[in-house]
Amino acid sequence: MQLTCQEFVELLTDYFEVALDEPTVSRVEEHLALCEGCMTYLDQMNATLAALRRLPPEPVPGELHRAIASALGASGYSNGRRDHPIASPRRLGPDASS
Amino acid sequence: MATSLAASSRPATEAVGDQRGLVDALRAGDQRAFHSLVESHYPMMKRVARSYVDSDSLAEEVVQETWLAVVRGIGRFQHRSALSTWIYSILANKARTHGSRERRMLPFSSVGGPAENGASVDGDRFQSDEDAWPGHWATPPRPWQKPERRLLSLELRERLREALDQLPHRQRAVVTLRDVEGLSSEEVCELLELSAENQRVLLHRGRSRLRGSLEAYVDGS
Repeated sequence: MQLTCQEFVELLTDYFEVALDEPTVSRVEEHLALCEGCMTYLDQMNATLAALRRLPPEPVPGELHRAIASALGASGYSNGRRDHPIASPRRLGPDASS
Repeated sequence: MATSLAASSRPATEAVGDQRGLVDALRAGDQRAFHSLVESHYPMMKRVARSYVDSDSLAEEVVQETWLAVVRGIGRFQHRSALSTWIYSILANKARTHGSRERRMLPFSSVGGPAENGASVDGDRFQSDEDAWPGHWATPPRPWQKPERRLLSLELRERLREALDQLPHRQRAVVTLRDVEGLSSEEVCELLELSAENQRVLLHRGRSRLRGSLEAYVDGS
């Protein structure tokens, strides 16, 4: 039986994830071949995923780097070396200004 | 715990062959080594922590406690597992402790209450039973013109970030780890203690909502 568009949109992630059985994959692909709206929907989903991949990572709060630096200073591991002192929090972006 | 976490799409400092050198540097208290390791793992660690606890600030606290435990414990690290695996197991333990302290209402492994259910596309956009083609598009999506340009805009990126932040937290965790951080489904299931099926359901709902948000933006509403 032919898939409806409403059914298609609910199967799309499973289709991408290769989690559908073979007959269902065939129905999805037959539907796509005939349905411009669903092809557009699939293109939009791909564009959404591409945009997600390009999101910049969340910046590390400067406070975290400072807490680690201070724990290193107290741990005795730092064996007196000061050749690379506490990383400048100013490098870390907006969070680090405080 | 997956051993390939460092091999996600983000550049990680922990190439497999370099692990001993890296661990030696960490043991020596090398701040630059810590700094770059924290930079490469922070976003993912925060997402994982956030999937156990109910607020961003608590998630940040869990991540910080984890790193402090790494500073204290690195001298005892035995190379029996990958360094990232060891770090994430500390993170998961700390996050679980905080999570149970908060007595969260829903375990992460359940797919969720009514707020997380719902169709991928508003039912009004499909033809009804009285129409010629029930279940087929009544208002089909319109192709996004020049998506390369529009989708790269700073404004769209901000919209997408906002939409991602507004997802129910489990959908957000799964979508972030899969689609922003580039982990495999197996890695996400392991980190978040999800079944493969629940992982797919959360991914599907999250992605569908995000596509809808971008559609609303691109179509100019």
